[in-house]
Amino acid sequence: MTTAQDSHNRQSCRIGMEDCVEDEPLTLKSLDRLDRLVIIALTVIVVAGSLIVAGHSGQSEAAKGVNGVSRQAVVIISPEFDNKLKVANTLLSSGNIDKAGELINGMIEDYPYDGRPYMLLGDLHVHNQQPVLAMLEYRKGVDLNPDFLDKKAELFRGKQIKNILEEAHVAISSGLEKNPDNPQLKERLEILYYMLRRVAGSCG
Amino acid sequence: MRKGWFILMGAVLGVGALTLSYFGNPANTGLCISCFMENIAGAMGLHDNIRMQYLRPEIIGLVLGAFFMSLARREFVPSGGSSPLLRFMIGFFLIVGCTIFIGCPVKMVLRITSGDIGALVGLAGLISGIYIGLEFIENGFRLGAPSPQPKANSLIIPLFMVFLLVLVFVEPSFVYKSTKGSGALRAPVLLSLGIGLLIGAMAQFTQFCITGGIARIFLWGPREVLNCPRSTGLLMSLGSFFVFALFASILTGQFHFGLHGQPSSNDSYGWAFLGMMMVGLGSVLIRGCPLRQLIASAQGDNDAGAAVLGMLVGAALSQSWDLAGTPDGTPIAGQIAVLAGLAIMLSVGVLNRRRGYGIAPEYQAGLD
Repeated sequence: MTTAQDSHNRQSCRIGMEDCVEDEPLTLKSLDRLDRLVIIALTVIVVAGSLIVAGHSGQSEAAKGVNGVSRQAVVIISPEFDNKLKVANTLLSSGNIDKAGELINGMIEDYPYDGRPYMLLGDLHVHNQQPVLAMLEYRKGVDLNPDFLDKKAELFRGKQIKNILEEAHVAISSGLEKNPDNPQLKERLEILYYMLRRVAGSCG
Repeated sequence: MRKGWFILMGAVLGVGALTLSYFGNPANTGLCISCFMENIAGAMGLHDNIRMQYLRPEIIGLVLGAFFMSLARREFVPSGGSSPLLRFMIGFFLIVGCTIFIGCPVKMVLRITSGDIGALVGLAGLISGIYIGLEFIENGFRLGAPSPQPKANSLIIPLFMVFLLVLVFVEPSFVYKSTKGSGALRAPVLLSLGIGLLIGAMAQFTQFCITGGIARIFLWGPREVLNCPRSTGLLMSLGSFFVFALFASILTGQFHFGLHGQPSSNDSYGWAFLGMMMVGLGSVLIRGCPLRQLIASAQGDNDAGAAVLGMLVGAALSQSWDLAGTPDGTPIAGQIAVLAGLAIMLSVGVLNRRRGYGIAPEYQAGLD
């Protein structure tokens, strides 16, 4: 005589009505090769995850820094700041590099989270024909304000930055040819690659 | 089914995707399920990244194209009840894995065919994940056989897409639309919708699936796989996709060979590998890559619909919780998410196995 429980068991059986059995409880004896591999993999994953979390927690706040790309731009809305930007631009255009540098460094000190002064500092280095130093400042500017590489944004300067990156690439490559183990050049090469990726664009 | 249809599938996908990126979609992102789901999530207000907010007509077109094709071919079969919550969760991690790599399997092929050799790491990860997933499948993994469902249940995803389509054209104030960033890079609406409809219809017709095609090589073996018509067809679609995308990228000037300076890339190759491994593993466990989940949900599969909703949540949280890869690398949260996702999927694999048994009936469909 079929009981309701029997009917339920048959309906819940998914593999082979003729040999439907209830799931065996998972015990150490029932573990097969695949189970053991998974257990090893899970152990590795847990250890790796713990190390990552511990390593990240152990870092100082300064060392953690900004996670590279910021989504939102900080833009200072201040007539005085805008005026200083215009003056710095004018000084750069007229070749008054020293005064421009002084003004720009002052703006960076007063407004460290706006990307525009860093871009100006990069322009200053371009004037001084130092594309690598320019690249480093453009990186700071772009990280603070992605609009500089956004084709749809007013502040877009992607083409100019790309040209400077090409010059920086030449300079870094020739430096590495002479001194392949220079750690500073290697670090700058990584920054160059990062900037090239930023210029190429990405989702997010 | 004639082999020409499978070749046409790959051609439509490859040329269609490159056409979209040529006419305005982001570089190397003519069609990307994960990126576009992130855009849709942003447009719906599910995350706050102002640069990724747009109701991508491509996704809407994919689902509706598949829906109409399934109706026309009388292949709209309402089904469900096969561990939908698990599928929701795996769908979540599918998108997380894609965002770590900065692209779904479709975009992975587009990146490779645009010259990004770093994307090959993603391919290696995807293949590894598929292999691991098949180990579970061949050793008794099952999520339960689906059962017939009321038709109304299976209309939810298609109708949701119709609703989104209305929003695309009406543009109400509560739907966000990026004015800058990748969300602002978009092909014309009608072109996006049209190509999406075409790809969706063809994908339903040929049952296209990137991970499915690769999985069959492992299931059948390199020699026997060509004896199976369906396997041959899927592999032809994959090959055709690759070839046509490559030619289209060269012809449209979107081909830039190299490792550095590629769009939508970073140098976190290890995490990209693991992210795509998670995608491969999850895709096998729930029988389909992210594209396949959208297509299946359109033809009545409620379980795939649950996965699609999981994908949407994954897309939203990838942005809100900073899980996604960036040109700077993989954020710590993303690294933890990948490890957690792999651990969860492996646990699901172990806990849902019937030891001593082979491939469950629901995974045998199409293998005979």
